[in-house]
Amino acid sequence: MSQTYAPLQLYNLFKSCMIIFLLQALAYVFLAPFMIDPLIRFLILSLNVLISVFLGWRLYKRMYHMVFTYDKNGFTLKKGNGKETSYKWNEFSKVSLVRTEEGDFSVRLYKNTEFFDLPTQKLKLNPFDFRFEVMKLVSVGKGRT
Amino acid sequence: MSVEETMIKIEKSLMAGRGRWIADFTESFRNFRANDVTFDAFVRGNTRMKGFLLSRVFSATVNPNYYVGCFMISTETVRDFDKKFLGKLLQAVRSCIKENEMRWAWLLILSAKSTDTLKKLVESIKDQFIGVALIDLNSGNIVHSDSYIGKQAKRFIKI
Repeated sequence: MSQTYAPLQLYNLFKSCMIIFLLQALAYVFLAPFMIDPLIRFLILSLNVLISVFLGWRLYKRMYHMVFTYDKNGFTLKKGNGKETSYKWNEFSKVSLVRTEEGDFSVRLYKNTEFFDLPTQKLKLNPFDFRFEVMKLVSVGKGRT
Repeated sequence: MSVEETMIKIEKSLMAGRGRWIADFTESFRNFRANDVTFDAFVRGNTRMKGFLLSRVFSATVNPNYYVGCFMISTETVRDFDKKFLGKLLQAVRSCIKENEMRWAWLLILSAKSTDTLKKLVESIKDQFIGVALIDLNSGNIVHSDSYIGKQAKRFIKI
């Protein structure tokens, strides 16, 4: 039976909203001299926040949201609107746990000299426990071939 | 605390805790095989820390980029943990150091009942590039080899 993980990444959602908010704020800097009325300024700020939330959510779904599905045969990882990446467990020979430069933990799967990282922490999976599960799946997968 | 729990604790402390003061340990393998010995865990990294802007520039200009490692083995998984086996372990670590161009490595021996013989054996090791530490799981006491790297293991590894 396959399991799916697609948690909301609050940090990336906040980042997406902030990108949109700052872009709008930059546009406002040029328009500010023409808008002296405080009421209009407040309305613009409110509109800015609303648009940031709406477009930030769209940006998050398009760029950062991850959907990870796995079963005993293999897994699929989709990031944003990008292409789905699918692998069989038996394609890999070695498993390790890595800490990325951002400080997140991932499970690294080695395929000869190449590797593929599963961003376990971003998927809200415990990397230390999930590593053992992946090790089992990889060893069972190898035995199956 | 069980061997597995201790190993995860050490792994966490090396990769995300106080171990980062000595090296940037970034990758951990389980059931790592070197020569004909299987270590329960092997954590590797380098001495050049990653940081943000200034600390990154500082690290790149001041810190040397040495590869380092930490091997862990439990006495529970070995039938006869004697002088001969310890020699075999050190040889495996040495060959791994050479293969991965590491500058130094720690060898942590986790034991539920560390005997005086084993303690004396560890204390007698004088290798300057391998710091050996015997960790007693019940008392938490750490006995280390007679080298600078060995002393550092006691300072940075806490259970």
